[in-house]
Amino acid sequence: MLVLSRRKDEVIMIGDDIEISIVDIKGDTVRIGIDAPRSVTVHRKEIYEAIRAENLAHMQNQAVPDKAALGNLAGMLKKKKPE
Amino acid sequence: MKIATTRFGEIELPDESLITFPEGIVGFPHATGFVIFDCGDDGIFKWLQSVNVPELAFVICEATLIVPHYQIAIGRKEQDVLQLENTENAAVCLILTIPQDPTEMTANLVGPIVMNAESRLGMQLVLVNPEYDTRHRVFAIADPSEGEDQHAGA
Repeated sequence: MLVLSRRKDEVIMIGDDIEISIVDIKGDTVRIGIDAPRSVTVHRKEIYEAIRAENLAHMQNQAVPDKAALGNLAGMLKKKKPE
Repeated sequence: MKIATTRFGEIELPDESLITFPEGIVGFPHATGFVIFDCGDDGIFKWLQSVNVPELAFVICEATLIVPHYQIAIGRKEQDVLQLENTENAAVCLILTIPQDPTEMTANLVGPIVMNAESRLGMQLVLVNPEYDTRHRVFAIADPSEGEDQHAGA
């Protein structure tokens, strides 16, 4: 892994069209600005990982719910909905 | 179009029911084709079944049924993927987990499924909203019958 030191307001370029700038540093928090083309997706890793884990768990564990239970849930949701 | 599934065996649906997820879904980049069909008789719950991965199927429902004021930001990149000109035309659904005790149902508020019915394109978003979590309890434990519980379980 490439490791660089940067100060506030300094920028890293990745390829021709991705810029990572250090916007602010306070204690152990660094604010980072990312300038990238629209086709590039940027995520906070822990959120991405949480969704991935949830998708995987659903695939492995979600049984087909029985119709009576689904009917009850539908009723409960309708009651829950305001208006 | 015949689709192999682990939950429902082989199912057959018209070709035009295919919804393309160009980027797959989170953790499954190759799951690029899905179909939707009813789960239960109420028209509220649906299965989102992968056509590429037989075991990959999600119970989903319209987001506002779960969280009335559910809000997401659909950015330019998402608009491009979905070929969505007006973000108001997006169908926003949540993945539900329905356990043995269905009243303990949870919804993934952080990774909603967004689809454009016109282009038949879909994607899973990754939201940044500290109020939302991946296992939002849909029915508040003490009070299952009343009002909004957007913050319950948070």
